[in-house]
Amino acid sequence: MTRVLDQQSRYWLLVMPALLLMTVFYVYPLIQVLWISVTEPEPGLGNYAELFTSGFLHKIWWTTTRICTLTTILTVVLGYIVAFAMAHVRERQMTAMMFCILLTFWLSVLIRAFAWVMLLRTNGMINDLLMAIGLTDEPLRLSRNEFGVVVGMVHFMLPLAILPIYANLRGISPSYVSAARGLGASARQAFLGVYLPLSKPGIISATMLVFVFSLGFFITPAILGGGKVVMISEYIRVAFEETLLWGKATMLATSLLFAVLLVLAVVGRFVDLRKVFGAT
Amino acid sequence: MTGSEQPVRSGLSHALSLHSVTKLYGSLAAVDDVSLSIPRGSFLTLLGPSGSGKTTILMAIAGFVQPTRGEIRLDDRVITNVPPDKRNFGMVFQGYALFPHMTVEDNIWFPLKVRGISKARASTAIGEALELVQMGALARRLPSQLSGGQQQRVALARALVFEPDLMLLDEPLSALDKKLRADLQWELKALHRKLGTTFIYVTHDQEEALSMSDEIVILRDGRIEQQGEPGALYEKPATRFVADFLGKSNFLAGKVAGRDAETFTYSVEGTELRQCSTAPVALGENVLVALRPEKIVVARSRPDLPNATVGRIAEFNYYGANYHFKVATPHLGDLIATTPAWNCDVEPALDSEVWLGWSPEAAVVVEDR
Amino acid sequence: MSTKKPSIKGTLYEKDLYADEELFQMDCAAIARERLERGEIDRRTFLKALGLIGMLPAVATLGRDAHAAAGEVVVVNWGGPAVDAYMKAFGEPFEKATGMKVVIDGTGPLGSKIRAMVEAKNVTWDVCDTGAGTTLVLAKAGVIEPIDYTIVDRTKVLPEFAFEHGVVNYMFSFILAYNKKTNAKIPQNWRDFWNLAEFPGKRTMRKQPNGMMESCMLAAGRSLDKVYPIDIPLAISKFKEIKDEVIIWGSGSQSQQLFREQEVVMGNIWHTRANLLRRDMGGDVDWTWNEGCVAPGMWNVPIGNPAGKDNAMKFIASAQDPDQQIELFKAMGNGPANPAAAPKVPEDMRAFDPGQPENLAMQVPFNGKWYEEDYGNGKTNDQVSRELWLEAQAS
Repeated sequence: MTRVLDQQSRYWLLVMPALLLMTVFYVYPLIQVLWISVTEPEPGLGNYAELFTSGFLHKIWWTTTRICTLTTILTVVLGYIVAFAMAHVRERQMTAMMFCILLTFWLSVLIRAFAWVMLLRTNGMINDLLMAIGLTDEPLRLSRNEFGVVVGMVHFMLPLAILPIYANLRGISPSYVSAARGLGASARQAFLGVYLPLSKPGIISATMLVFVFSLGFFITPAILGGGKVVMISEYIRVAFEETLLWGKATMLATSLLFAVLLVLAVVGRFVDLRKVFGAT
Repeated sequence: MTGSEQPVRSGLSHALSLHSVTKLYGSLAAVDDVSLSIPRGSFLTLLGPSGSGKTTILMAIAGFVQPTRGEIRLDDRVITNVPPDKRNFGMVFQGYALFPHMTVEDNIWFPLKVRGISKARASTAIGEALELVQMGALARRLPSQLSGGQQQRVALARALVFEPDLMLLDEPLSALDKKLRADLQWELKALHRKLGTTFIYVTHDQEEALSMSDEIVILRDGRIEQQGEPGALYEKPATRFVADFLGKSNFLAGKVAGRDAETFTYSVEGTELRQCSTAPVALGENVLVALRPEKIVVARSRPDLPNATVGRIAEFNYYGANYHFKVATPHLGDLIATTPAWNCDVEPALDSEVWLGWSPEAAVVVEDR
Repeated sequence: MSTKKPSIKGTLYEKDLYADEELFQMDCAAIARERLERGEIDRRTFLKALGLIGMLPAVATLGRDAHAAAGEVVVVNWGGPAVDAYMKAFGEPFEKATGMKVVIDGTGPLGSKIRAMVEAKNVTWDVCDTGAGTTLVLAKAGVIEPIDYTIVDRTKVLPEFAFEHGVVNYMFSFILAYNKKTNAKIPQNWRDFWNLAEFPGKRTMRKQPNGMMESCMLAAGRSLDKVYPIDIPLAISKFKEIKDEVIIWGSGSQSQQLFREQEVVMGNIWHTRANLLRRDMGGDVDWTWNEGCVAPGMWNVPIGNPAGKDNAMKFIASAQDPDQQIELFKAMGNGPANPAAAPKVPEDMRAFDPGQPENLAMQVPFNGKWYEEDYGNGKTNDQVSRELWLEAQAS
């Protein structure tokens, strides 16, 4: 009996330093943020009240939610397609594709955002191409607006979606689809009835990952949005660094955190979250 | 088919034929010019070692492999290029491939669902299929909650529920333990009798093939080595390969010394043996004779048989019902003989002296390949 | 000549990057780099990069900043070539005159960092080079000292630029810049800027309202001397009139890039950037001082500074010398704050000096006092205009 206890406490000892580190550098600052949000400029929930009264804040939340949702849907769909391709081509092609995906992952977000500006702007390469092949007479407004922002964000997030989905797809034995085909299912029926349901965990991981990440985005929206697409994170930064309204900034940051936790809670009702995060 | 039961759905069984089917992978021929005709309602087994092409043939019949050359016909229809989902064959794969995210019920419903039949309308058929394999009580379980044998039964039910034209089974029992395998062999055979559907079965286990099949096709390196009823194949193997693959054989290689109307003699290392054969053999010709262990008489003293030799027990195994003796003989090499354990004439001990004997009808002349 | 982003190299963290938020000081550093040779990364630049990593590490690095020993004054600006330029122009004369050591720290005096420092009672900076906007915000937060005008000479600055909690160190302007080639006519004033019919094409304006609302008022018909008090709702509605054609700039190089890539035909930008554009685009882009808004860079002194309030004020007073300011002007393009410097500026550089009398006459000085005033319900004009300006952009 004592032997067993010893092992348990030994594990705890091993984990303790990491827990301590997390508490100091993660939990404690979080508590600080929460504290500031209810004490500045004066103690109380005044900052939170603004969430309900300020039309501007509503607009920002709505913009953020809209763009993040749109980005998430597009990214997961595109990511699924790419992951599907990767799971079905030969080893060498798969490696090449993986390399390309990881390569963009390692590029700085700033470089990517500016690259998109160059491609999407009024006299940029895409508009030149569209006009050259006659699809449009006047250049399209592709950047400095929500369209540009979504494009930039989807592009950034794709590896985040592709990787978990691909990991899932790889584990799906081809015998399932063969069995379905043999039982009379067309390729489409086999995909919808068997393959897609089996890839659900990957899709859910990707969705959560992309959504939570995109909530915190502000560089890409700032550069590609022409200043007109203001998202929560941007506003938090302004409140924190420029106008020094720390009460507001922390309130928004806390609300964002709660929003994410809420999303996780809702998802958790439909899906075994532990499985999604890797437990077997 | 034996038994007094009338087959339930014999009107639905079809005849399959392969015509010069070849499958090349690069320059390697996995299947080499195979022609086969499978009569309605029979239980045919494709038997062979791994790499013999049996699974490839089955996959070609199923539609997952496209033959490089040749044709496959169902009754009179050419189906070589028909996609697998349009062939209406029931398939039971190795590993069962039960859909892990569906219950047993839903798994069985699946082939009906893709044919546009709602679950409500399908419920009778699903129920019947479950009854057929005695899995009615576990309808709501998930595959992960079933044992290997139960999963195999569900896979069978799923493949049968839509009344397929043919059943294709790819080593369905290989993952099960011996006792379960034996039980399920009985069940499969009963199922086949009851349904009357044509069964095409792939296995490398020759006992399975012998016990269940109406006809066995032995494959080797992509070609048909020999085909026929189990008894015929077992008693009259055509080649060394078949004699050794189907059951066990001792091989005696010698030169023909003399002959008469029904038998001939041949000598192996100076010992003269007599062999029954009506096939023409020439004097001096080299000949290979296969002798099954169970046909050798094991005795304490010289048996009164035309072929006999003395020997010492080099090794023996006890199998409850039988003894298997490996007997070292002075001129004929090591011979394997089996004898019932309860009636054994000799003392089963190493180095015991024993006499082995057999009649000319007991052995068979085979081609040496 | 490149328009690459200044200073921070190869970081992956969004919050470090200041991609679109830049104070004028940082921008001058960027320009200076583009002019001068690129120096190696020194410890100060490194510290600055470190310091930009979020709040906690910023506070953590506070201890690592050059800390003031006795008799040492730490002056903080935006780094790069500004470090050496400030040292030569202001630091060395002060050291000679008083014997106190001067350390120029290029970490970048962000408002949030100053506040964090003061509230944590761990101040390591004596004099900070910020701007009018930041001064207003910091004053409201109560973390900077009022300027001691018994030490600092009020007469050596334009009266509008002697704030209560900050005093001007150099001047720069928000001006109307335009592309001669893509405009059929030359825009002369802000009414032309607002005239979308006769001057079609996109414009650019800054993310913050300071310097922008003034142009809105002028476009609305106010004369130069009647710009203040700014009617904020009027300015906002004026902005909304042309909002769809406006691309917002956050950093100086961004404003420059928009012109270079011909995404805009005119803009309300810093004169230093317009100057670069004129030089680099073969004269295609030009600007006018007319109806410009001349604004001050500011010296701030955090409360509780290590060298003591008096020494900080002494440094500021010392930097009011016209020759020192001209020295800085030559190095980095910052207009001298002391009116007495104007006649001493070399002839060929006068066109670029916002403080020249003929240039000043055409401009409206940024009125810090008005921004400090109460708008109502506890907020200053500055706070309200920031909120409404951002709101207008996002709507």
